[in-house]
Amino acid sequence: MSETNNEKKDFTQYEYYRNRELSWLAFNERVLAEARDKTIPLLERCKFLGITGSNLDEFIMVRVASLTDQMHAGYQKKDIAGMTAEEQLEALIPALHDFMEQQYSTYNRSLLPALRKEGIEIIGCHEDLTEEQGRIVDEYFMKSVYPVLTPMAVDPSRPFPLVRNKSLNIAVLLQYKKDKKKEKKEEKTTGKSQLLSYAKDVDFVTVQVPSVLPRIFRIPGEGCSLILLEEIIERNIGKLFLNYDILCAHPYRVMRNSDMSIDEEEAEDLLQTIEKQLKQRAWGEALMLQVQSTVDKRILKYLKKEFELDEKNIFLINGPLDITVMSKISGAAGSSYSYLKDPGFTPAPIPAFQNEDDIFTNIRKCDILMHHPYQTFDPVVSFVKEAAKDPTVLAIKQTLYRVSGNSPIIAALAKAAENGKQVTVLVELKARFDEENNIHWAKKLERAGCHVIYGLLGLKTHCKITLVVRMEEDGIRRYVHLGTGNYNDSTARLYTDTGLFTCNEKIGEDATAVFNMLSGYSEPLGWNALAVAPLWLKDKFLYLIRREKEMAMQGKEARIIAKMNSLSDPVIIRELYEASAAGVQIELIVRGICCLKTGIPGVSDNITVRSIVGTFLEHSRIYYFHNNGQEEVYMASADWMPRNLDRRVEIMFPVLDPDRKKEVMEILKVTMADNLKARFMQPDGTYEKIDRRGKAAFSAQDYFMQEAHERAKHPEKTSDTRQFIPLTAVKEESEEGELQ
Amino acid sequence: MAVYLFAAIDVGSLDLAMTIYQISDKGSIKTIDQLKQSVAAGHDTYRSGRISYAHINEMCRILTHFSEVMKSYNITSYKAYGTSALREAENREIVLDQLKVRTGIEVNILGNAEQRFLCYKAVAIKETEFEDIIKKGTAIADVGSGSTQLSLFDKDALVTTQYMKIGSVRVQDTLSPIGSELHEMRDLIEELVDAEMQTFKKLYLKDRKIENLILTGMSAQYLGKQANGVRKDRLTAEEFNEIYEQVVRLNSYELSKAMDVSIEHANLMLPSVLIYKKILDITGAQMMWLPGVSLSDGIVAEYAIDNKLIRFHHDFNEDILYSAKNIAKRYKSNQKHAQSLEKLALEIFDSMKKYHGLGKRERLLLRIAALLQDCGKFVSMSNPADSAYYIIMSTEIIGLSRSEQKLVANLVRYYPQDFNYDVLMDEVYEKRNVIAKLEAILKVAGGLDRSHRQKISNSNIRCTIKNNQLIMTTDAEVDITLEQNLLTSRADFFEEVYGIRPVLKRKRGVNSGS
Repeated sequence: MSETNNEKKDFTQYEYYRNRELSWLAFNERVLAEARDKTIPLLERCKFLGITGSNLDEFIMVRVASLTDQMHAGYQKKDIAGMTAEEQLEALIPALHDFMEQQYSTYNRSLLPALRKEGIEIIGCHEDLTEEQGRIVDEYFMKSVYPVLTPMAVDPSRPFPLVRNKSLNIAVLLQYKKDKKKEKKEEKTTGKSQLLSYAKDVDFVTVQVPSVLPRIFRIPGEGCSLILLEEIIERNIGKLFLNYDILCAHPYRVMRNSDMSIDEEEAEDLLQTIEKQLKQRAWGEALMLQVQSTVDKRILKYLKKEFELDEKNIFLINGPLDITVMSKISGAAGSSYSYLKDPGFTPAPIPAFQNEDDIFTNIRKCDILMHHPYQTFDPVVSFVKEAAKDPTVLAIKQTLYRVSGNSPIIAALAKAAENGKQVTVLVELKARFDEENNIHWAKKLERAGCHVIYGLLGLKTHCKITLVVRMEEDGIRRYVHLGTGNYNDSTARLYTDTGLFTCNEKIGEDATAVFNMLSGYSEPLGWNALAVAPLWLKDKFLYLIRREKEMAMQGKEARIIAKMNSLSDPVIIRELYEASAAGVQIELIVRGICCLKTGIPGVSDNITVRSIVGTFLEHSRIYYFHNNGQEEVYMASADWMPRNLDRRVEIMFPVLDPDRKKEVMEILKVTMADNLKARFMQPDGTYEKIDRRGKAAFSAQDYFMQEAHERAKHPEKTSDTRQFIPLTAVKEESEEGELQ
Repeated sequence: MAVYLFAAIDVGSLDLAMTIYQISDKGSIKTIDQLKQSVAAGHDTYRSGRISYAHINEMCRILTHFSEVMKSYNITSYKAYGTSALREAENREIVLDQLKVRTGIEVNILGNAEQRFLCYKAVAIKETEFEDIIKKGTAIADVGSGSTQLSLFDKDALVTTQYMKIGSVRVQDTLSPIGSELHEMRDLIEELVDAEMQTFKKLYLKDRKIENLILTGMSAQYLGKQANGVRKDRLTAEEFNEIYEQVVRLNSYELSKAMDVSIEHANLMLPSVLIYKKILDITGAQMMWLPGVSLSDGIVAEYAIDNKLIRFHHDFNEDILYSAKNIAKRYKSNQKHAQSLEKLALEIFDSMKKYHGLGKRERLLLRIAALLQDCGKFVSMSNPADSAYYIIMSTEIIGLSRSEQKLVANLVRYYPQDFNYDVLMDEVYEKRNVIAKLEAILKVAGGLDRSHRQKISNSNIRCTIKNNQLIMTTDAEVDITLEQNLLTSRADFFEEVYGIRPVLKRKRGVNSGS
């Protein structure tokens, strides 16, 4: 494209951008496709279906909630694609209905039959239980379930109770046992139907399906028969109401608005505000109601009225409510079905640490790159653990965003404080849905003597950085770990992330400045190597993209490869369009939301977008710029999203060590060679798998798993000896997406 | 290799800064950590003369943070200095006391001459080409928030250093009540700056060629900043003029974006750059050096030199002496006599080491007093002592603290007259003692060159102490009767102070030459 054309083009037109919610839904569809992919072990497919459920729950609670709020507030501002909140909801709600239909069609037509074939029976209806099974189930009910049930009746003196967000409940209509004859007589004389008179004679009761009990009950006996807890309760519901006739009982589930928008300017004490907010959350406005399609009309009418919902926000479901339960089938089925599961993967040791030296000595030898979960996350924990007992360590500083339950990192930090180290921990209280957990850890750390800080007003601290300061013989030396993923040892086994250990002086100085900034000790005085959001990161990205554009305009080779979770920043997208129009080759690996459109003539012809949904959640953020041959590689905690670039504290760090740079580029290369799990974005926004044209199937995640262990066998070899050989030994191919 | 950590705290007009340095016994000074937080205490001082309580609280909060950071490095050695905002605040004692009581950090106020000298040391240590640069005509312009210091070098010697009460914050505050538009302000600032600069030009820049300009001060740090984040450490006059044009054109907000500085600092860019521009114009320098030093760099340099942690080939005491010599020259002192006196005084000082217990710093003060002792005659032949006192008290001697300056002034004042203990009652005990001890030496040394003809000089005299006598033996082949006779009263005072009687003798076998 010539320069003059480039100048004329208006890259900001709405039609060049895709709405982020619809793009997100397309991502969840890609996850759902995994549940239908017959090349994947059956119980893993069940998990994928469960994941689409929990994804959707969060999406509704946050995004649908936010759009609903905007609509109520009369907010007219248009999104990146030119849609108002109302228009987005209009497009989204039917799409959600469609999506749920796909979920349950996958459940009923693909997974249930396949499970049955393997001898795993999910008894959807308690009426289908055999007599013997019924006896066992009833016994379980009386012994374990009955004691924890709390039915709540609704009548003029008792208003409709609080029904917790996302909780599963059973609505029951019942009637006081009367003389049957008398009743009939009454009906005749008054001519009233039961429905009309239920306010008087018929009682509405709701019972929460207890979340303390497992949702799935495996019925002892031959084979594997599973029944859901709500079915057990339904079957025995009469036992809760003596002297009443049960007219009907049906499960329901309500989703509420839980997006927290705290006005931090007004909050005197952030901690208290969040605690208060948490208590309020259960009471958020109802956004949607899920009931089974067989629900009794009276119950539906009643619930609809109580939750003040429109028809379109009621989802009739053909299967069990709260499909997240599918993630638990694998566990319930037990070890005898392990052939239906992924063999399980043990992260490989990191060659650079496979020796007798302590972690600091190893980091001094050279920068160390880690690729999780293929490689173990343990060094990150040992980093803090060893620092805690090292006599030369003066201080340990770390940001914590989401930590696992019983986190070994927290324990190590507390230990360090007890050992007299100066320990500064930034606990991000605003990490969504994790607030309660975070407050708990914050208090624990404070008790241990750590200096706990909560970050900057109005900004979430999302960067992942750990700094250990040692007083060595030749002076102060700083050891830094920077990562793309949270300091969470559990998710580090499931998310693909990269991390870097370094004692590079420039990065160490910057790391100190980051903590000085976060603890309010100092205004930042400029950076050596790191780019920090919200003030500097976006400009840095724009600078890097524009530099490639300049190269392309000078006729030089220009290339950008960027891997991230989501791409939705309008300014970045516009700059990418401009770069593409100038001739920069742009390859994007975007797992989730992508508001950029490919294949627009003169705008994005040079851009490809691929998405990988696999066993592990793609989570690493890697940015590559060709820079006329002086290649630059960065890793970051930030996606190209406005929230990352403008409203969070994020860090992008360069990979400076030439060998490590090669390794990271290799990661990108391997990821882009994937032809099994990768799907390419089409101009219409759909995603298509690659046509292999007879080439061997290659899965990047499988390759990384194998390769990590290969490398660990020969720790003495450097990365240079790595050879990139496509694997042929991936699972047998077969058509996927048979359904629909 | 042994390393030491040291924290330098600068309680400035606009912000509080702490820099943590690592000093190695191999002579390197490395910055480990840098912290800075804004508190506009300077605005209080320049506008109302006092620092407000709100700002004191703010300063305490920040110093508490600093002390926590020091603790995290196990740092025990630190120096905290306040500059013009504190120096000129009427309530400075209260402020210092509050800071001490509430944060445990003891802040000392730097005299202007001390402050500039620290800055100069920082430049000398940081700028590797310093020795080469100052061989040519060089000016160091240190534009602070409250004042500007201009120091001239020629053939690696300090020619003069002058203090001008124009600084970025002060200019801004002086003009803020006028509330004019930016370009009008520009004219006003130029006028203000011009008035000060022209006098300087007349006095010191006649027949002097200045090729290099070393710029220090807050805003100087930002001048070399480039789009790619790399900082330039020198600018040609043309390059500077381009930046100047840009600064003058942009408003504070645009400037803060363009230079990636806070709005507060962007606000000060215009007055600072106008001052730099004026200095560039009157000196006609072609090259500007931006060593990017801060006061903290000077504080650590001084600490490292004083504690012999590093060696530096440039002798900073020589700069102080040069500066004193130039003052003496300006007031038409008898330089031959002054230099002879200096040497004789040192001869006595060194031989009395065991008896006075004074150190290098006092030795330096003695030399300065010797150099400046007759500058009062320029003003009044009848009362040179008091005139000299006032000249010294109102002249900046770079590198001396205010109390050292006073000490020198008193030495000079009582040099030709009887020592008056009463007048010195407002001096603390230790200081009075030092004055008395140095005065005794200076008087005796003066007695040796009573004729101002350098009959006796350090090359022909030897001092020994024997039987409570300071025996000064000379082999000069001149008549020393005058000196011997007139020494009596001076010897009395000497004896009063030390219990040792100075005696002037001729070496046996040497002719009197008469």
